[in-house]
Amino acid sequence: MRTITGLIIVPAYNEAEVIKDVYTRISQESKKLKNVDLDIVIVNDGSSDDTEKVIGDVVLTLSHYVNMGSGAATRTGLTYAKREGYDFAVTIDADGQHSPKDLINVINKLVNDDYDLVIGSRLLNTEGMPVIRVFGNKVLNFATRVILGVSVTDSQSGLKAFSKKAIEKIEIRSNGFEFCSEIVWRAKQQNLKITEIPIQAIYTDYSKAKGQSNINALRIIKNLIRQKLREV
Amino acid sequence: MWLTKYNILIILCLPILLLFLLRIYDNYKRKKISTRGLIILLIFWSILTLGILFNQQIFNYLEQSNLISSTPLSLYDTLQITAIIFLIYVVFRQSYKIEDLQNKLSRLNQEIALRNTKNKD
Repeated sequence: MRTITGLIIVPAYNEAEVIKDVYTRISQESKKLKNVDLDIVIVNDGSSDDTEKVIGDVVLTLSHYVNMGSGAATRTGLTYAKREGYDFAVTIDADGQHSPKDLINVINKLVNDDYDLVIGSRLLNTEGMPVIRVFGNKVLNFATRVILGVSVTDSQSGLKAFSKKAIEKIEIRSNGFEFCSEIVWRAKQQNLKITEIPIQAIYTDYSKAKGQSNINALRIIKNLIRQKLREV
Repeated sequence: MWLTKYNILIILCLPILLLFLLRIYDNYKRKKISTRGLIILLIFWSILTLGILFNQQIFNYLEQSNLISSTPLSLYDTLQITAIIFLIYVVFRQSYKIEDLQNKLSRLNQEIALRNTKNKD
């Protein structure tokens, strides 16, 4: 059986406190995959803390000189995957919100069931998820459906797996958090095969503090409207 | 006397509106906006241009139809309308420039990051 190559993209902004631990956990879990050659890239999005220093001994890093946003960092990671010819790519949050076990699950779903985009949905099983987060994410799902016309259970999930076809065809234009909804939109535009699998979000005090606020949700909605109008 | 307040409004606003219409067409030719985007922007700015060109007729029609009961256009109103149109033009132009710069900065940032990939193997 041919060994396939994959890239795990970890966009990070001011994550010095947890990034090394997240990297180690991903690295250990990814070794369990058979016939898959996995690389991990950390995209440091112009962090002003010690993220750059902490990840200094990490295998692969891409560094933005200025902070451009989570969407821009993900785009850089996906462009790297495209240029290097990886067979698939996975994006995962740097704040430790996602379990590396779920990372393996999305990869298995993508590889074994031949999907182009696999979304790890936190809202298919909301156990342990703060009510305010469930509400905020449902509002953004609704906004994504109304503005972009695409419907998924967790439009804002940072855990997504992309096939080679998806890496080549999806072009993210947003720089901010609205890129999560945009990815699903672009995938639908390109008629890619999309699915969702339930994942468990790990909410620590750190990840709660780093997560999106409700004010940010309003900004996402505003930017989604702009994005849609730009392409009218 | 041809230099009425209505005509002053046309003289002040028409160059701004024509400039904007030309810019929209130029952006379309440089493929910065889509055909649908061009049509929507042209419709919006053309309606505004027609409104300015026929401002006296529109005012008279609305007054005769009892749809408005305001006093005829004053010189102050003329300047105020011109200023609003000029500000719309400036806002559109600046937001477009900012977006363009943001895209360029984003591409530059990405390219630098990709060229300086740090592989610690």
